[in-house]
Amino acid sequence: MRIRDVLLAILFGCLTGLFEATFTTFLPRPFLDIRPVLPLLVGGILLQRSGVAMIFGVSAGLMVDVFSVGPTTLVSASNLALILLISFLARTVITNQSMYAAFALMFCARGIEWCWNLLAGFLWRMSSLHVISIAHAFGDVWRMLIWDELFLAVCFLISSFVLRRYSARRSFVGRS
Amino acid sequence: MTRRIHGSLLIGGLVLGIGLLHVAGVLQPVEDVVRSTAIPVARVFAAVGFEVGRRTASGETMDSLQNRVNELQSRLSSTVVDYVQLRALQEENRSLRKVGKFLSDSEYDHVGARVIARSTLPQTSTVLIDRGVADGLEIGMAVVAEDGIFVGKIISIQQRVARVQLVTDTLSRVAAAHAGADHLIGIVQGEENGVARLTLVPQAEELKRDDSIVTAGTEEKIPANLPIGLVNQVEGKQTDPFKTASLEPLVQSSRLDLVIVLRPAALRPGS
Repeated sequence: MRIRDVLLAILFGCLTGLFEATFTTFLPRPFLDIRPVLPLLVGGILLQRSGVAMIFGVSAGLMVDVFSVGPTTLVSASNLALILLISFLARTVITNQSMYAAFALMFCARGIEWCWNLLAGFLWRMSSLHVISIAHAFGDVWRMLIWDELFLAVCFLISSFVLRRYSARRSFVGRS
Repeated sequence: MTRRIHGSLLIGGLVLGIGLLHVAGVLQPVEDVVRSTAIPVARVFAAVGFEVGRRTASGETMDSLQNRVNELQSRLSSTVVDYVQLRALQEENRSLRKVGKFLSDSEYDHVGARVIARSTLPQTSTVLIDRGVADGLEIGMAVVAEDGIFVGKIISIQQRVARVQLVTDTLSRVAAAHAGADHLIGIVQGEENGVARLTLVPQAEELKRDDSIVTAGTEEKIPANLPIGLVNQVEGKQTDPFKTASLEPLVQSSRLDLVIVLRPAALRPGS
Protein backbone atom coordinates (compact mmCIF):
# COMPACT_ATOMS: atom_id res chain seq x y z
CA MET A 1 0.00 0.00 0.00
CA ARG A 2 1.51 3.31 -1.00
CA ILE A 3 1.56 6.41 1.20
CA ARG A 4 -0.46 8.23 -1.45
CA ASP A 5 -3.22 5.59 -1.22
CA VAL A 6 -3.27 5.85 2.56
CA LEU A 7 -3.52 9.64 2.54
CA LEU A 8 -6.20 9.61 -0.12
CA ALA A 9 -8.17 7.01 1.83
CA ILE A 10 -7.97 9.14 5.00
CA LEU A 11 -9.02 12.32 3.20
CA PHE A 12 -11.83 10.67 1.29
CA GLY A 13 -12.94 8.85 4.43
CA CYS A 14 -13.08 12.06 6.45
CA LEU A 15 -15.06 13.88 3.78
CA THR A 16 -17.49 11.00 3.29
CA GLY A 17 -17.98 10.64 7.03
CA LEU A 18 -18.63 14.36 7.40
CA PHE A 19 -21.06 14.24 4.49
CA GLU A 20 -23.00 11.40 6.11
CA ALA A 21 -22.98 12.97 9.59
CA THR A 22 -23.96 16.51 8.57
CA PHE A 23 -25.16 17.10 5.00
CA THR A 24 -27.58 14.17 4.68
CA THR A 25 -29.31 14.96 7.99
CA PHE A 26 -30.79 18.11 6.45
CA LEU A 27 -32.37 16.34 3.49
CA PRO A 28 -36.07 15.41 3.44
CA ARG A 29 -37.22 11.80 3.18
CA PRO A 30 -36.43 9.64 1.24
CA PHE A 31 -33.04 11.33 0.67
CA LEU A 32 -32.47 11.32 4.43
CA ASP A 33 -31.60 7.61 4.19
CA ILE A 34 -28.56 8.11 1.94
CA ARG A 35 -25.54 6.67 3.76
CA PRO A 36 -22.49 6.45 1.47
CA VAL A 37 -19.88 5.09 3.91
CA LEU A 38 -20.99 1.45 4.03
CA PRO A 39 -21.46 0.99 0.25
CA LEU A 40 -17.97 2.36 -0.34
CA LEU A 41 -16.59 -0.03 2.29
CA VAL A 42 -18.27 -3.00 0.64
CA GLY A 43 -17.05 -1.83 -2.77
CA GLY A 44 -13.50 -1.62 -1.45
CA ILE A 45 -13.65 -5.14 -0.01
CA LEU A 46 -15.09 -6.55 -3.22
CA LEU A 47 -12.35 -4.91 -5.26
CA GLN A 48 -9.84 -6.64 -2.94
CA ARG A 49 -8.58 -3.41 -1.42
CA SER A 50 -9.40 -4.31 2.18
CA GLY A 51 -6.45 -2.37 3.58
CA VAL A 52 -7.56 0.85 1.93
CA ALA A 53 -11.16 0.09 2.89
CA MET A 54 -10.08 -0.31 6.51
CA ILE A 55 -8.37 3.08 6.58
CA PHE A 56 -11.34 4.66 4.83
CA GLY A 57 -13.74 3.00 7.28
CA VAL A 58 -11.87 4.16 10.39
CA SER A 59 -11.55 7.75 9.10
CA ALA A 60 -15.18 7.97 8.06
CA GLY A 61 -16.32 6.31 11.27
CA LEU A 62 -14.31 8.76 13.36
CA MET A 63 -16.03 11.68 11.64
CA VAL A 64 -19.46 10.15 12.17
CA ASP A 65 -18.67 9.53 15.86
CA VAL A 66 -17.28 13.00 16.45
CA PHE A 67 -20.32 14.70 14.89
CA SER A 68 -22.97 12.24 16.05
CA VAL A 69 -26.13 13.83 17.42
CA GLY A 70 -27.20 11.00 19.68
CA PRO A 71 -25.23 8.60 21.87
CA THR A 72 -22.16 7.41 20.04
CA THR A 73 -22.18 3.90 18.57
CA LEU A 74 -18.40 3.83 17.91
CA VAL A 75 -18.81 3.70 14.15
CA SER A 76 -15.04 3.60 13.68
CA ALA A 77 -14.84 0.36 15.66
CA SER A 78 -17.97 -1.06 14.05
CA ASN A 79 -16.55 -0.39 10.58
CA LEU A 80 -13.43 -2.37 11.51
CA ALA A 81 -15.52 -5.28 12.73
CA LEU A 82 -17.69 -5.02 9.65
CA ILE A 83 -14.70 -5.19 7.31
CA LEU A 84 -13.54 -8.30 9.14
CA LEU A 85 -16.88 -10.05 8.83
CA ILE A 86 -17.62 -8.94 5.25
CA SER A 87 -14.13 -9.98 4.14
CA PHE A 88 -14.72 -13.39 5.68
CA LEU A 89 -18.06 -13.71 3.90
CA ALA A 90 -16.53 -12.54 0.63
CA ARG A 91 -13.74 -15.13 0.86
CA THR A 92 -15.92 -18.07 1.89
CA VAL A 93 -19.25 -17.46 0.17
CA ILE A 94 -19.00 -15.42 -3.01
CA THR A 95 -17.22 -16.66 -6.10
CA ASN A 96 -16.70 -13.57 -8.22
CA GLN A 97 -16.72 -9.78 -8.11
CA SER A 98 -20.11 -9.31 -9.73
CA MET A 99 -22.65 -6.66 -8.88
CA TYR A 100 -24.90 -9.37 -7.44
CA ALA A 101 -22.15 -10.32 -5.02
CA ALA A 102 -21.94 -6.66 -4.05
CA PHE A 103 -25.68 -6.52 -3.43
CA ALA A 104 -25.55 -9.59 -1.22
CA LEU A 105 -22.59 -8.30 0.78
CA MET A 106 -24.29 -4.92 1.16
CA PHE A 107 -27.37 -6.63 2.57
CA CYS A 108 -25.20 -8.45 5.11
CA ALA A 109 -23.31 -5.25 5.96
CA ARG A 110 -26.51 -3.33 6.78
CA GLY A 111 -27.74 -6.24 8.84
CA ILE A 112 -24.51 -6.34 10.83
CA GLU A 113 -24.63 -2.56 11.34
CA TRP A 114 -28.22 -2.79 12.58
CA CYS A 115 -27.26 -5.51 15.07
CA TRP A 116 -24.33 -3.41 16.27
CA ASN A 117 -26.62 -0.38 16.83
CA LEU A 118 -29.10 -2.59 18.68
CA LEU A 119 -26.32 -3.84 20.95
CA ALA A 120 -25.01 -0.29 21.48
CA GLY A 121 -28.49 0.92 22.46
CA PHE A 122 -28.85 -1.99 24.86
CA LEU A 123 -25.48 -1.22 26.48
CA TRP A 124 -26.33 2.48 26.81
CA ARG A 125 -29.62 1.62 28.52
CA MET A 126 -27.83 -0.80 30.84
CA SER A 127 -25.50 1.98 31.92
CA SER A 128 -28.58 3.80 33.29
CA LEU A 129 -28.60 6.43 30.59
CA HIS A 130 -32.12 7.27 29.54
CA VAL A 131 -31.61 6.37 25.90
CA ILE A 132 -34.20 5.18 23.45
CA SER A 133 -33.38 2.72 20.72
CA ILE A 134 -30.49 3.79 18.50
CA ALA A 135 -31.16 1.18 15.83
CA HIS A 136 -33.34 2.35 12.96
CA ALA A 137 -36.74 0.83 12.27
CA PHE A 138 -36.93 -1.89 9.58
CA GLY A 139 -38.66 0.47 7.19
CA ASP A 140 -35.76 2.92 7.39
CA VAL A 141 -33.19 0.13 6.96
CA TRP A 142 -34.93 -1.09 3.79
CA ARG A 143 -34.86 2.46 2.35
CA MET A 144 -31.15 2.71 3.21
CA LEU A 145 -30.56 -0.60 1.44
CA ILE A 146 -32.26 0.64 -1.70
CA TRP A 147 -30.03 3.71 -1.76
CA ASP A 148 -26.99 1.51 -1.03
CA GLU A 149 -27.70 -0.82 -3.93
CA LEU A 150 -28.31 2.14 -6.25
CA PHE A 151 -25.05 3.70 -5.11
CA LEU A 152 -23.15 0.43 -5.65
CA ALA A 153 -24.71 -0.04 -9.08
CA VAL A 154 -23.61 3.45 -10.15
CA CYS A 155 -20.09 2.84 -8.80
CA PHE A 156 -19.87 -0.45 -10.68
CA LEU A 157 -21.04 1.13 -13.91
CA ILE A 158 -18.50 3.95 -13.57
CA SER A 159 -15.76 1.48 -12.71
CA SER A 160 -16.59 -0.82 -15.64
CA PHE A 161 -17.30 1.60 -18.44
CA VAL A 162 -15.49 4.79 -17.50
CA LEU A 163 -12.46 3.68 -15.55
CA ARG A 164 -12.31 0.21 -17.11
CA ARG A 165 -10.65 -1.09 -13.95
CA TYR A 166 -13.16 -3.77 -13.02
CA SER A 167 -14.18 -7.06 -14.55
CA ALA A 168 -17.07 -9.22 -13.34
CA ARG A 169 -15.37 -12.27 -14.77
CA ARG A 170 -12.47 -11.95 -12.33
CA SER A 171 -12.91 -14.35 -9.45
CA PHE A 172 -12.56 -13.26 -5.86
CA VAL A 173 -9.30 -14.59 -4.47
CA GLY A 174 -9.49 -12.98 -1.06
CA ARG A 175 -6.23 -11.04 -1.38
CA SER A 176 -6.26 -8.01 0.96
CA MET B 1 -4.32 -19.14 6.85
CA THR B 2 -2.32 -18.41 10.02
CA ARG B 3 -1.67 -14.86 8.78
CA ARG B 4 -5.39 -14.35 8.29
CA ILE B 5 -6.14 -15.56 11.79
CA HIS B 6 -3.51 -13.26 13.22
CA GLY B 7 -4.87 -10.38 11.18
CA SER B 8 -8.41 -11.10 12.33
CA LEU B 9 -7.31 -11.29 15.96
CA LEU B 10 -5.46 -8.02 15.57
CA ILE B 11 -8.50 -6.30 14.13
CA GLY B 12 -10.73 -7.78 16.82
CA GLY B 13 -8.32 -6.47 19.44
CA LEU B 14 -8.39 -3.04 17.79
CA VAL B 15 -12.18 -2.98 17.90
CA LEU B 16 -12.21 -3.88 21.59
CA GLY B 17 -9.42 -1.45 22.32
CA ILE B 18 -11.19 1.47 20.63
CA GLY B 19 -14.34 0.68 22.60
CA LEU B 20 -12.53 0.51 25.94
CA LEU B 21 -10.47 3.63 25.30
CA HIS B 22 -13.58 5.57 24.32
CA VAL B 23 -15.47 4.50 27.44
CA ALA B 24 -12.47 5.38 29.60
CA GLY B 25 -12.34 8.84 28.01
CA VAL B 26 -8.77 8.43 26.77
CA LEU B 27 -9.80 9.24 23.21
CA GLN B 28 -11.52 12.51 24.21
CA PRO B 29 -8.53 14.81 23.41
CA VAL B 30 -8.14 13.14 20.01
CA GLU B 31 -11.84 13.59 19.30
CA ASP B 32 -11.67 17.25 20.36
CA VAL B 33 -8.76 17.91 18.01
CA VAL B 34 -10.52 16.16 15.13
CA ARG B 35 -13.69 18.11 15.86
CA SER B 36 -11.88 21.47 15.96
CA THR B 37 -10.19 20.71 12.64
CA ALA B 38 -13.31 19.45 10.89
CA ILE B 39 -15.85 22.03 12.11
CA PRO B 40 -15.29 24.54 9.25
CA VAL B 41 -15.99 21.79 6.69
CA ALA B 42 -18.97 20.59 8.73
CA ARG B 43 -20.40 24.13 8.68
CA VAL B 44 -20.12 24.24 4.88
CA PHE B 45 -21.75 20.81 4.51
CA ALA B 46 -24.53 21.80 6.92
CA ALA B 47 -25.23 25.10 5.13
CA VAL B 48 -25.35 23.43 1.73
CA GLY B 49 -27.40 20.52 3.08
CA PHE B 50 -29.90 22.91 4.66
CA GLU B 51 -30.37 24.80 1.38
CA VAL B 52 -30.70 21.59 -0.64
CA GLY B 53 -33.15 20.17 1.89
CA ARG B 54 -35.22 23.34 1.91
CA ARG B 55 -35.47 23.48 -1.89
CA THR B 56 -36.13 19.74 -2.21
CA ALA B 57 -38.91 19.74 0.37
CA SER B 58 -40.85 22.77 -0.92
CA GLY B 59 -42.22 21.03 -4.03
CA GLU B 60 -43.43 17.96 -2.16
CA THR B 61 -45.54 19.79 0.42
CA MET B 62 -47.58 22.28 -1.65
CA ASP B 63 -50.90 20.70 -0.68
CA SER B 64 -50.01 20.56 2.98
CA LEU B 65 -48.80 24.17 2.80
CA GLN B 66 -52.14 25.28 1.34
CA ASN B 67 -54.03 23.51 4.12
CA ARG B 68 -51.72 25.09 6.64
CA VAL B 69 -52.37 28.55 5.17
CA ASN B 70 -56.11 28.06 5.45
CA GLU B 71 -55.80 26.93 9.05
CA LEU B 72 -53.55 29.82 9.98
CA GLN B 73 -55.89 32.34 8.39
CA SER B 74 -58.76 31.11 10.53
CA ARG B 75 -56.53 31.35 13.61
CA LEU B 76 -55.38 34.82 12.70
CA SER B 77 -58.89 36.20 12.75
CA SER B 78 -59.40 34.93 16.30
CA THR B 79 -56.25 36.62 17.59
CA VAL B 80 -56.65 40.06 15.99
CA VAL B 81 -57.86 41.72 19.19
CA ASP B 82 -55.01 40.30 21.23
CA TYR B 83 -52.57 41.43 18.56
CA VAL B 84 -53.78 45.03 18.64
CA GLN B 85 -53.39 45.24 22.41
CA LEU B 86 -49.99 43.57 22.29
CA ARG B 87 -48.81 45.93 19.58
CA ALA B 88 -49.63 48.94 21.71
CA LEU B 89 -47.69 47.46 24.61
CA GLN B 90 -44.73 46.69 22.37
CA GLU B 91 -44.49 50.26 21.15
CA GLU B 92 -44.52 51.55 24.69
CA ASN B 93 -41.88 49.03 25.66
CA ARG B 94 -39.63 49.99 22.77
CA SER B 95 -39.69 53.61 23.74
CA LEU B 96 -38.65 52.74 27.29
CA ARG B 97 -35.76 50.45 26.43
CA LYS B 98 -32.84 50.91 24.01
CA VAL B 99 -32.27 48.18 21.37
CA GLY B 100 -29.37 45.96 22.45
CA LYS B 101 -29.57 47.03 26.07
CA PHE B 102 -32.41 44.57 26.74
CA LEU B 103 -30.21 41.48 27.01
CA SER B 104 -27.74 43.07 29.40
CA ASP B 105 -30.66 44.33 31.54
CA SER B 106 -32.11 40.83 31.62
CA GLU B 107 -28.77 39.45 32.83
CA TYR B 108 -28.50 37.12 29.83
CA ASP B 109 -25.85 37.20 27.15
CA HIS B 110 -26.35 35.45 23.85
CA VAL B 111 -24.16 33.38 21.55
CA GLY B 112 -25.08 32.70 17.94
CA ALA B 113 -24.66 29.15 16.66
CA ARG B 114 -25.24 27.16 13.51
CA VAL B 115 -26.97 23.78 13.45
CA ILE B 116 -24.47 21.40 11.83
CA ALA B 117 -26.26 18.06 12.19
CA ARG B 118 -29.72 16.71 13.05
CA SER B 119 -30.97 13.42 14.41
CA THR B 120 -32.63 11.15 11.88
CA LEU B 121 -34.63 8.87 14.18
CA PRO B 122 -38.35 9.86 14.35
CA GLN B 123 -38.54 9.55 18.13
CA THR B 124 -35.61 11.92 18.74
CA SER B 125 -35.38 15.62 17.98
CA THR B 126 -31.87 16.71 18.78
CA VAL B 127 -29.47 18.87 16.86
CA LEU B 128 -25.75 19.54 17.05
CA ILE B 129 -24.57 23.16 17.16
CA ASP B 130 -21.06 24.47 16.53
CA ARG B 131 -20.55 26.08 19.96
CA GLY B 132 -19.29 24.38 23.10
CA VAL B 133 -17.42 24.78 26.37
CA ALA B 134 -14.89 27.07 24.72
CA ASP B 135 -17.72 29.58 24.08
CA GLY B 136 -18.87 29.60 27.70
CA LEU B 137 -21.82 27.27 27.23
CA GLU B 138 -23.12 24.88 29.88
CA ILE B 139 -25.59 22.03 30.07
CA GLY B 140 -29.13 23.25 30.66
CA MET B 141 -28.85 26.58 28.82
CA ALA B 142 -31.81 27.70 26.75
CA VAL B 143 -31.61 27.74 22.97
CA VAL B 144 -33.90 30.05 21.00
CA ALA B 145 -34.56 30.65 17.34
CA GLU B 146 -33.58 34.00 15.87
CA ASP B 147 -36.93 35.59 16.77
CA GLY B 148 -36.67 34.60 20.42
CA ILE B 149 -38.83 31.47 20.31
CA PHE B 150 -37.67 28.76 22.69
CA VAL B 151 -36.66 25.64 20.78
CA GLY B 152 -34.75 23.53 23.29
CA LYS B 153 -31.95 23.23 25.80
CA ILE B 154 -28.38 21.95 25.82
CA ILE B 155 -28.17 18.37 27.11
CA SER B 156 -24.54 17.51 26.48
CA ILE B 157 -21.49 19.53 25.61
CA GLN B 158 -17.97 19.11 24.26
CA GLN B 159 -15.20 21.63 23.74
CA ARG B 160 -16.46 22.86 20.36
CA VAL B 161 -19.95 21.42 19.91
CA ALA B 162 -23.09 20.95 21.96
CA ARG B 163 -26.18 18.78 21.61
CA VAL B 164 -29.50 20.56 21.88
CA GLN B 165 -32.64 18.62 22.80
CA LEU B 166 -35.59 20.27 21.10
CA VAL B 167 -38.98 20.62 22.80
CA THR B 168 -40.38 18.01 20.39
CA ASP B 169 -37.94 15.30 21.56
CA THR B 170 -39.71 12.47 23.39
CA LEU B 171 -37.35 12.86 26.37
CA SER B 172 -37.71 16.64 26.58
CA ARG B 173 -39.45 18.20 29.61
CA VAL B 174 -39.85 21.97 29.97
CA ALA B 175 -41.70 23.86 32.71
CA ALA B 176 -44.37 26.01 31.09
CA ALA B 177 -46.75 28.84 31.91
CA HIS B 178 -49.41 30.97 30.24
CA ALA B 179 -48.13 34.07 28.47
CA GLY B 180 -48.33 36.91 30.95
CA ALA B 181 -48.88 34.63 33.97
CA ASP B 182 -46.34 34.29 36.74
CA HIS B 183 -46.86 30.69 37.81
CA LEU B 184 -46.12 27.25 36.46
CA ILE B 185 -49.13 25.54 34.85
CA GLY B 186 -47.68 22.36 33.39
CA ILE B 187 -44.88 20.53 31.61
CA VAL B 188 -44.25 20.57 27.87
CA GLN B 189 -43.08 17.17 26.73
CA GLY B 190 -42.21 16.11 23.23
CA GLU B 191 -43.87 13.41 21.20
CA GLU B 192 -42.83 11.63 18.04
CA ASN B 193 -42.78 13.31 14.67
CA GLY B 194 -42.20 16.88 15.70
CA VAL B 195 -45.12 17.65 18.02
CA ALA B 196 -45.34 18.45 21.73
CA ARG B 197 -47.90 18.15 24.51
CA LEU B 198 -48.63 20.25 27.59
CA THR B 199 -49.26 17.85 30.47
CA LEU B 200 -50.04 17.94 34.20
CA VAL B 201 -52.22 21.03 33.85
CA PRO B 202 -54.56 21.31 36.89
CA GLN B 203 -58.25 21.21 35.99
CA ALA B 204 -58.76 24.57 37.65
CA GLU B 205 -56.36 26.20 35.20
CA GLU B 206 -58.07 27.98 32.30
CA LEU B 207 -56.80 26.67 29.01
CA LYS B 208 -58.24 27.10 25.53
CA ARG B 209 -57.22 26.83 21.89
CA ASP B 210 -54.69 29.41 20.66
CA ASP B 211 -53.44 30.25 24.15
CA SER B 212 -49.73 31.13 24.09
CA ILE B 213 -47.52 28.88 26.18
CA VAL B 214 -44.18 30.23 27.39
CA THR B 215 -41.33 29.02 29.60
CA ALA B 216 -42.11 29.28 33.31
CA GLY B 217 -38.62 30.31 34.38
CA THR B 218 -38.44 27.71 37.14
CA GLU B 219 -35.42 26.00 35.55
CA GLU B 220 -32.05 27.44 36.52
CA LYS B 221 -30.69 28.56 33.18
CA ILE B 222 -33.90 29.06 31.23
CA PRO B 223 -35.40 32.56 31.45
CA ALA B 224 -39.13 33.02 31.81
CA ASN B 225 -41.57 34.13 29.10
CA LEU B 226 -39.84 32.63 26.11
CA PRO B 227 -42.60 31.59 23.66
CA ILE B 228 -42.87 27.84 23.09
CA GLY B 229 -46.06 27.27 21.14
CA LEU B 230 -49.81 27.65 20.80
CA VAL B 231 -52.44 25.37 22.33
CA ASN B 232 -54.06 23.28 19.62
CA GLN B 233 -56.59 21.15 21.44
CA VAL B 234 -57.37 20.68 25.13
CA GLU B 235 -58.00 17.10 26.20
CA GLY B 236 -59.11 15.41 29.40
CA LYS B 237 -62.31 14.73 31.32
CA GLN B 238 -63.70 17.11 33.93
CA THR B 239 -63.28 14.39 36.55
CA ASP B 240 -59.54 13.95 35.91
CA PRO B 241 -57.17 15.79 38.27
CA PHE B 242 -55.10 17.04 35.34
CA LYS B 243 -55.75 17.84 31.72
CA THR B 244 -53.46 17.88 28.73
CA ALA B 245 -53.27 19.90 25.55
CA SER B 246 -51.60 19.32 22.22
CA LEU B 247 -49.18 22.10 21.39
CA GLU B 248 -48.20 23.49 18.07
CA PRO B 249 -44.53 24.53 18.25
CA LEU B 250 -43.91 27.96 16.74
CA VAL B 251 -40.78 26.79 14.96
CA GLN B 252 -40.41 23.56 12.98
CA SER B 253 -37.20 21.70 13.68
CA SER B 254 -36.67 21.19 9.95
CA ARG B 255 -36.34 24.97 9.53
CA LEU B 256 -33.69 25.45 12.20
CA ASP B 257 -30.46 26.71 10.73
CA LEU B 258 -29.17 29.49 12.98
CA VAL B 259 -29.99 29.56 16.70
CA ILE B 260 -29.06 31.64 19.75
CA VAL B 261 -27.93 30.22 23.08
CA LEU B 262 -28.89 32.33 26.08
CA ARG B 263 -25.96 32.46 28.45
CA PRO B 264 -26.16 34.07 31.93
CA ALA B 265 -23.85 37.11 31.83
CA ALA B 266 -21.95 35.78 34.83
CA LEU B 267 -20.79 32.84 32.72
CA ARG B 268 -19.40 34.96 29.86
CA PRO B 269 -15.74 33.94 29.20
CA GLY B 270 -13.46 36.38 30.98
CA SER B 271 -16.10 37.60 33.45
